[in-house]
Amino acid sequence: MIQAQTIVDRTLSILDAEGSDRYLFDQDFKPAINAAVEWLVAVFNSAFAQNKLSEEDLRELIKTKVFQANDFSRVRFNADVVGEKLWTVLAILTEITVTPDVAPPPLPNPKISVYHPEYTFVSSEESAGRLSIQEWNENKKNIFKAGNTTVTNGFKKYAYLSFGDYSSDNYTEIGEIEIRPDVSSELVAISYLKYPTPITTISDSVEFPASLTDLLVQKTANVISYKQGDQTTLYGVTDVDVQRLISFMVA
Amino acid sequence: MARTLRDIVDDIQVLLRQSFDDREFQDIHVAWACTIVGDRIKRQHIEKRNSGAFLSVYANVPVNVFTTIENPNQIPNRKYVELPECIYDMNLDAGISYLSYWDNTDPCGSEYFRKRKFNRTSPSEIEVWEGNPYTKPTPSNPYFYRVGKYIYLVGIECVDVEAVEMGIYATLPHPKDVDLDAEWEFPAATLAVLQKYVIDIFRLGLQMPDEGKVNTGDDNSNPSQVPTQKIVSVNNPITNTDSES
Repeated sequence: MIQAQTIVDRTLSILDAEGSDRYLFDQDFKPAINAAVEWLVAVFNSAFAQNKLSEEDLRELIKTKVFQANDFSRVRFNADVVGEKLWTVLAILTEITVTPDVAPPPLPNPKISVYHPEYTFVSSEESAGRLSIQEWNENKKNIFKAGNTTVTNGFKKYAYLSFGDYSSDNYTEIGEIEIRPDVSSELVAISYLKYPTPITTISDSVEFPASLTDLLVQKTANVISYKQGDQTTLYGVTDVDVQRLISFMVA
Repeated sequence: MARTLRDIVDDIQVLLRQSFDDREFQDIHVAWACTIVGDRIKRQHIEKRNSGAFLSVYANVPVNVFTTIENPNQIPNRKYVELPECIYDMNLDAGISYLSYWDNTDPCGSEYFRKRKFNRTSPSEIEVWEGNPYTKPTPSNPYFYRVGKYIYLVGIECVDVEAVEMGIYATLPHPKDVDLDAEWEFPAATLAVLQKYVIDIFRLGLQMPDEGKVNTGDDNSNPSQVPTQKIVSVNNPITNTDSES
C-alpha cells in the first residue's frame, strides 16, 4: 500500500510547492493520483497480454476466492456480491482444497453459481488454461488440448472460457466464466487482480506495492504538469522517468 | 523405485522448456509421443530378449461362439476368444506367447487335468494339418489362428472349454487410460533412446509457425517462417535398432 499523503508530499517536493496552497488535494492531487493509477492499470494490461509482468508487482491486489459452479459448469463473478471489482483473471483453480474442509451445500438454484466467502482456498493441483471462443468449441474432443472432455485420468487438463453473457428470458446470469471438463456444483477458486479502489481522501491508500511509489509519484507529477502547458520542463522530466521505470518493469 | 509415465513426461516437458502455463504441448501430448515411440522400442526389445519381463498373462479368457455377425472378422459357429489387449503384431503371431486350456477329457477317464497348448497356425494351413493323423486338430493337439482381434480355436469343437489361458505381449496403453503414478511397463535401459526420439519429435513441432498468432485461416501467411530445409536432429541418429531389418 502507498499512502496518498506520501505521494502528495513527494509530488509537492518535485513541484517545489511545499507549504504553498497552489496545489490542492481535491482539485489537483486526487484526480492526478487516480489518473496515474488508471494509467498504470492500462500499462499493466498491456504487459499482462504479453506475459511480461509478474503478479509479484501487484501483490496487494491479488485475491483468491472460492465459488461453486452452477449446473452448466459456469461461475459468475458478481462484483456487488464479492464486494470488489475485477481487474483481470490470473488463474482458475479446480479440484481445490478449502478450509473448513466440508462439502459444499447443494446449489439453491442449479442455474446460479454461488460465491462462498466462508471458505478459504488452501491448495489445488489443477489450473485451467484460457481458450478463445473458437478454440473452446473446436477443441472439445481434442485430447491434446486443454479443456477436452475425453481425457479423465491424470492427464486431464482444465480450460476456461472468459466472461460471456449467456442470458435469455429463462437465464438471467450475466458475465460468467465457463470451465471444462465439467465442474458442476464443485468448488473452484478464482485468482484475480482486484481493480484498485480510487482514493477519495488524503488518508486513503493506493493499492499498489510500495516498490511502485516512485513510478506513481512521477506519473502524478506528470499528470499535474498538464496544467502547466505543453512542453514544460516538468512534463519532459517526469515523462522520461516514467518511461524508464516502465521499461524496467515490463521489458 | 518404479519409473512412472509422469516422471518421463515431466522430464521431457522441462527439457523442452514446456512447463509454463499456456504451453503448446500438453502433458498428454508428450505422453502420446512416448507411447508411439515406446511401442516401437518395446517391441524391438521383446523380439531381442527371451524374457518374460513384459509378458501379460490372462488366466481366464472366455471362449465364445458368434451368434450374430457385426463385421467380416466374426465367423459364425466357430469357437473364439477375443484379445484382452492390443498386442504387438510380430512375425508368426509371436505377440501371443502361448494359448492353452485345461483338458479333462483324458482317454483313461481319470480326473487328471492336462494343460494343452494351442499351436499357432493360419486359416490356409489348417487344411494341411487336417490331412495328417499326427497333425490333425484334436482336443489334445489344438490350434489357433488370428483374425484381427479374434483368436479362433480349432480342434476343441467337440469338447467343453469355457476359458483359456493366454500369455501376450501387449502394446503400451493409450495415455488416457494410464495410471500416471503406476509403473510404466517399459524397458528401463532404453529410456534414453525414448527420450531422444520424443524430444526430436517436439523439436520439429517447435520449429513450425505458430498458428495461434494468425487468424486468417492461412497458416503460411509468412512464408519465411516455414522451414524449407529438411530438419535434421542434432541428436545421434538412432538406426539399426530394428531387428526386422
